[in-house]
Amino acid sequence: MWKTILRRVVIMIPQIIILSLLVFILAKFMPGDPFTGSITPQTDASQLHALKVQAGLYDPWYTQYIHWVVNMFHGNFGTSYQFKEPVMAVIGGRAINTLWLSLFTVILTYLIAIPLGLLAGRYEDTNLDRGIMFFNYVTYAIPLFVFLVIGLWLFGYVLGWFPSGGSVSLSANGFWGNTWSRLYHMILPGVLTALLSTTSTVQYLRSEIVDQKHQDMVATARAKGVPERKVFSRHILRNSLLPIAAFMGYSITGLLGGSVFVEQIFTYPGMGQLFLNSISNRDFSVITALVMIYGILALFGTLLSDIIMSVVDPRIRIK
Amino acid sequence: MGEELLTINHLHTAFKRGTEYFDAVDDVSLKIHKDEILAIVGESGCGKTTLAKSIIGLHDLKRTKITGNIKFQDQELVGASPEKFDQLRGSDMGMIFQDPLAALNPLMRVEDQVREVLDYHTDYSATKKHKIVLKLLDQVGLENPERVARQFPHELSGGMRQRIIIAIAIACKPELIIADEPTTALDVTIQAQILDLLRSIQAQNHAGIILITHDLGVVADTADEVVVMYAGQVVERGTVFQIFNHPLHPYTRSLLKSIPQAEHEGDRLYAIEGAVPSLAKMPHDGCRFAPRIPWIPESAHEKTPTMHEPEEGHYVLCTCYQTFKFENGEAV
Repeated sequence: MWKTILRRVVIMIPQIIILSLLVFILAKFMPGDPFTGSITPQTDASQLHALKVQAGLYDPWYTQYIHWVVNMFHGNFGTSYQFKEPVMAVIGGRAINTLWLSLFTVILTYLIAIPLGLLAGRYEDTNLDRGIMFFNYVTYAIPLFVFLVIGLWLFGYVLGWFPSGGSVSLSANGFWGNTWSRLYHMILPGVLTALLSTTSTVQYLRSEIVDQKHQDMVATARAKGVPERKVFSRHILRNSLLPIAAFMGYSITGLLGGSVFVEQIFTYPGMGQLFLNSISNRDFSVITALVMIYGILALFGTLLSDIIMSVVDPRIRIK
Repeated sequence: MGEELLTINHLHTAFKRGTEYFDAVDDVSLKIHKDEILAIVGESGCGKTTLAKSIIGLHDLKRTKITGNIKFQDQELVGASPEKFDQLRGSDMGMIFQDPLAALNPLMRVEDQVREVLDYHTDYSATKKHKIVLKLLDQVGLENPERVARQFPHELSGGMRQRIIIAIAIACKPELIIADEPTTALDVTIQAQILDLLRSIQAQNHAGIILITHDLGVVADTADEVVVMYAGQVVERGTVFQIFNHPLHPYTRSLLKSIPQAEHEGDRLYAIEGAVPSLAKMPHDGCRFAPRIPWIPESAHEKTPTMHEPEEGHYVLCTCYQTFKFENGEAV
């Protein structure tokens, strides 16, 4: 098991190198440089040139690349042009916010989706199933940003039950006050997003259950005299959860990605909002750092999915 | 011949297609005794498995209508409650499935899957169950039962998995074992071993075995009694001797004719024209085999085919068997 994980991590090294090259090349293709923003009519051209030389901008690309990579290893992603702060400090605070909101959303998504998929599959072709499928198609059809805006208007503005933005209120103090305030700010965006994120899980679980029901192994279980309820929980359900488990790795790493829509609409200071802002403000150092982080997370997501699969499915266990 | 174990009378199993029901098993009657192997033969789609599933109660009753009588050990199975079936299945009836690769749960260890039968039909202690599982695995000819017990199905070969399925089926020493094409998915050498195993289990447990197959070689080898099914009906029924030595129904004779034989090497293999009609296109009156032997005049068939008993214990459906014959290897 540990050997497999180690082997997978080793395979990830060339993948990360390729990813970093791509990010670096794309960053180089982008117009402008770190000093473009600070040029004023009074800027001395020779002084600017000297600064660029000092910053290594005239070095060959591989020297620059190695320099960038070495800095990254030291946790130095450069300075944000927009915030005039180290990139890591800018990302750090927002990553925590996003992590909590996404964790809340993902847990809520599974809490809604798994029972729905399970009921729809188990009571296939009944009115309950049709109702759940209807819910599923409706939530699939509504665009997230429309749903969020309407939800925000209704619950945040008209009814005023929840705050309409931010991640914590300024008046909150103490550990519990702070935690409660954070949670309170997450409820509306979290619930609204979770409601619309259930589609694939419900659909997968339902069709897996319907499919597993007709497998020979289920007939074997019935032929053993296993009562229907147990046939469902021990044989059908366990096998049907495999694809859901396979997806779990991705959704866990997706936690840090954040949702651009949610964070933008709820002015929630997270990674998604930061990414969008950095793009519109040409904050290259933040963008490259974020792309690198997302890329590495995606790689870890596949690893995590593999690990989860090898835990739940003995056929994937590698010796 | 032992005492009567299972009696089926005028059984109809109909599947729902849209709003209509279509008979997949049409008026089947048969009997099986203890210590007997009854083979049910026929092409794919002629209702063998449907019949087996009707006996053991594995049909989804929302989509299936079963009428007639199935009497098993003085109990009527048609219309029996799911709880009744849960109690009978595994303990009094065991079933062996066609595809050993699909019939085991891939996520459970062999021991857990075999023990599950004991869990629901006995109240033995965990250690006793463990011992029984190992004994069963040994009984079905698996080497090193302790090791096999800890393994997952994917770690075992097809033959080994089929042995495990047999172990599951015989765990509670059932009176009746239904084997639905138990050797179809296995290669020939393993087939012989599995059939030997079934026979030896029968000798020990005195069970009645219903062996469903389309392999007439297996039938000749193993069965005592043979039922030939075509398009949901029993077309011929008799002892294995009667069926193989003087088959009557054109279908049985065509089937036997289409077995490759060493002495006719190089000859064209006989094939029956056409195919089994689908459920929706099943003719409702007249002889169902008539479209596949079109040269037999209509007058040779009965309008409503009935069972005839030309010799004791040997039954055949319809009168067309009197006209049908082979000449120079071709049916005329």
